[in-house]
Amino acid sequence: MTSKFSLALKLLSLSLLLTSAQALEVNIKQGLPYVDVDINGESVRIQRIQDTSHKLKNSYTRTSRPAPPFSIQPFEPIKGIETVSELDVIDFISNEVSDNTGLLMDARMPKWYNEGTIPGAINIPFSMLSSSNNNPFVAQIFEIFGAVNKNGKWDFSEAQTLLVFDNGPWCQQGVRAMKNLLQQGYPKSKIKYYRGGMQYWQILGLTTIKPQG
Amino acid sequence: MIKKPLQLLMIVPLLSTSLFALSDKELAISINLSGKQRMLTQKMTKESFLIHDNINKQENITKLKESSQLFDKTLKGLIQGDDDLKLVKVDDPKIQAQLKKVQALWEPFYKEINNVINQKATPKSYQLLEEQNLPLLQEMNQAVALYTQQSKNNSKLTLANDINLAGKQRMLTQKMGKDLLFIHNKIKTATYQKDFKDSRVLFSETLDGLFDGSEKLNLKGTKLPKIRKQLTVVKSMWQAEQPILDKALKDQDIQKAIEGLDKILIEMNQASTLYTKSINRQKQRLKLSSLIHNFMNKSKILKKRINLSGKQRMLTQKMTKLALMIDAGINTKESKAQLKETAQLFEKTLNGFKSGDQDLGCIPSKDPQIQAQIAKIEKEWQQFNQHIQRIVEGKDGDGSSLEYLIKHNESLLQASNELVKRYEASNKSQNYLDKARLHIVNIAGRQRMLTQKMTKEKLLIAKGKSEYNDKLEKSIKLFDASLNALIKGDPQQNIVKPTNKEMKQQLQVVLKLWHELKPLYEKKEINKQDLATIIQKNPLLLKEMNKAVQISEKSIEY
Repeated sequence: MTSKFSLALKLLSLSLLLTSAQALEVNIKQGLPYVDVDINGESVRIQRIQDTSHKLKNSYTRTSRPAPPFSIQPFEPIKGIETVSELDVIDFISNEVSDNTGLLMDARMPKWYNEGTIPGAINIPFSMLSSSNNNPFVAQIFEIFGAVNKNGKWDFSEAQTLLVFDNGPWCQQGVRAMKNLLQQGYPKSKIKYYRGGMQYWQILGLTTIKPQG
Repeated sequence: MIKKPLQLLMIVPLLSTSLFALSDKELAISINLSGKQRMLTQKMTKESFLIHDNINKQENITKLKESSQLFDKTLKGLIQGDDDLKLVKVDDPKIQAQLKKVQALWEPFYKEINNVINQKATPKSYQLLEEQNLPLLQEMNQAVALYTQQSKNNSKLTLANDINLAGKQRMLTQKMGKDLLFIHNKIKTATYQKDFKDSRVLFSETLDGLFDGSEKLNLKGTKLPKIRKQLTVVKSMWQAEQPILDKALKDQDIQKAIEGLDKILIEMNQASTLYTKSINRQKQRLKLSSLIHNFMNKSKILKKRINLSGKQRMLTQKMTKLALMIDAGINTKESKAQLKETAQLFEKTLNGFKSGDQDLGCIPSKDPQIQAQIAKIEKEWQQFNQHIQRIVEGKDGDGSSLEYLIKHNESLLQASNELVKRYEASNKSQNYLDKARLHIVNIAGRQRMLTQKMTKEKLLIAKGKSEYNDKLEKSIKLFDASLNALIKGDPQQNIVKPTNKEMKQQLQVVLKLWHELKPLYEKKEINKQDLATIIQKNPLLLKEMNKAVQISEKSIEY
């Protein structure tokens, strides 16, 4: 309840910032036409496609894929990890990502990520966080997230909150990433899950970018 | 000349090593705090002269105490490390020498600052502060430049110079305040009037450049709304400050002018923090990109190994098939040339697995089980190859070399197959889809081998070796079942049904060719025409199967 209220307040303050902005036909929500975010020192605008007759033409128009492996994910696939909406993702980008206290994590394999992602997202393929022995990447990634290794034990008190997403409710990459993170000790309180993923993000006509380099 | 892909493979680990050896986080703290020291040199001098002029004396004594203690602690921390400030000692001799220079200037400076704090300052104390504050600033500035050079990544980051100059703006606010006090005290008035004027112009130009860029100052400018909003706050305060500064130059409202500059310092500091956050995000992205590049390369190398080792299985069968064709007088000259080429490719790949091969993009594996298997194949291959060379050179008159190949080719095939399995087992990834893809590469690769094995077996049967009828039947069944699994999917075999249109079409091409060839392979009594069709079409089947493997590797959705 409190978090919903604070989200509403944050979105209201964002919308007040944008009162002078030009009116759009398709807003993110009433009073919030767009949000500008910092991507590699450049400003990128997140808004919805303004053409009201626009339809998707890419692979996110597909309704069916063989399941398994592309089974429908539960609303809360891991108990204790909050599932969030598009508005929460936008709020997260505007606040936590902007303050460097949070990281928007695209858990898909790079092939997918390079086709297009949510502005502000960083690609960390779920398999990179695998808990197998000899995985040299986890420790390096955790340090980059701000966790501190004290005598072999991870201290996550200063670590970033991770908002994880993948292709959408039929994709298991995000859930696997979260399971891998938990297996390695990352606290549930510092993980959020955007179940809608790229499919819902694009169905709503929200801005995507092709990562550079 | 190293080929590009291999060059990349070699550079990436070096790149990632240098990225992490530097410890960006520690370096960023050093750059930030040494940058702040520049501002403190001016702030301390200004506070000393505020005390000298009896302006808010007690408050400024407290401030000066804090500023000087912070400068002292930070300088010591930069030289030898400080846990509280999270400063780590930098061993670079140039930086250490530069910090020692700062220290040499700081010691007498600090002594006089303490005299000011303890109200024991003499005119000589103030003279030293006036004369030495700029050399102290300059030497500190040099130290900042050396720290910045250490952070090689900074040059690649957007806004790297903007953040540096935004930080310097803070120092300018304090320097201008100090200049006003010197002018007020009639200390080298003309010099400090000029100094003040220069700082004032520089502050204005930098502020404009931070908004919209400046070629002169090498500033990019920014469209980032949060930073622009904060810079707008600074700009409006700076504009409001102008008439007050004009008055202060006429020795009026100096205190008000200095207070205004201090408020601008606070807001400029906020802007600097926003710049730092933006830079830190870029650094984080760079570091993660480098790691992912490393990770993906490992995966690519594994796919390459599985593909190449799978191909070796096919080559064992192709070589035996070609030897049989030479024996049967089918396309003898061409078959000999192909046999020679195939044997060379087998050897080159085998050497690539063992010692690396730039052309093939092959990096040797350190896994002892894989190395042992390569050694085993190598041993078998030496003998096998000697017999191939005899056939190629037309020295196998008694047919003993062909007999050797017939007898030992399946052993070489099995040994090669075991290598594929060991490469597959070395994949520690939990990625279900990646594992499935690798498995598809393996199965499709096995199909390539079967096209050659079936033809070889057909040739052996034609040679009168009827014991190969059962083997051929098994090979046909395996090819049939595997193709069916690749088309329809088989969860038990961990084969995903393809949904990719291109892949589906390609498998249909393979299926069509297979429908033409299968009856011929199955036919008990085979005539010369049928055999010629098999010989002509089995390379096509191999080629189309290869295309299917490539699509499965490259497509986003399988």
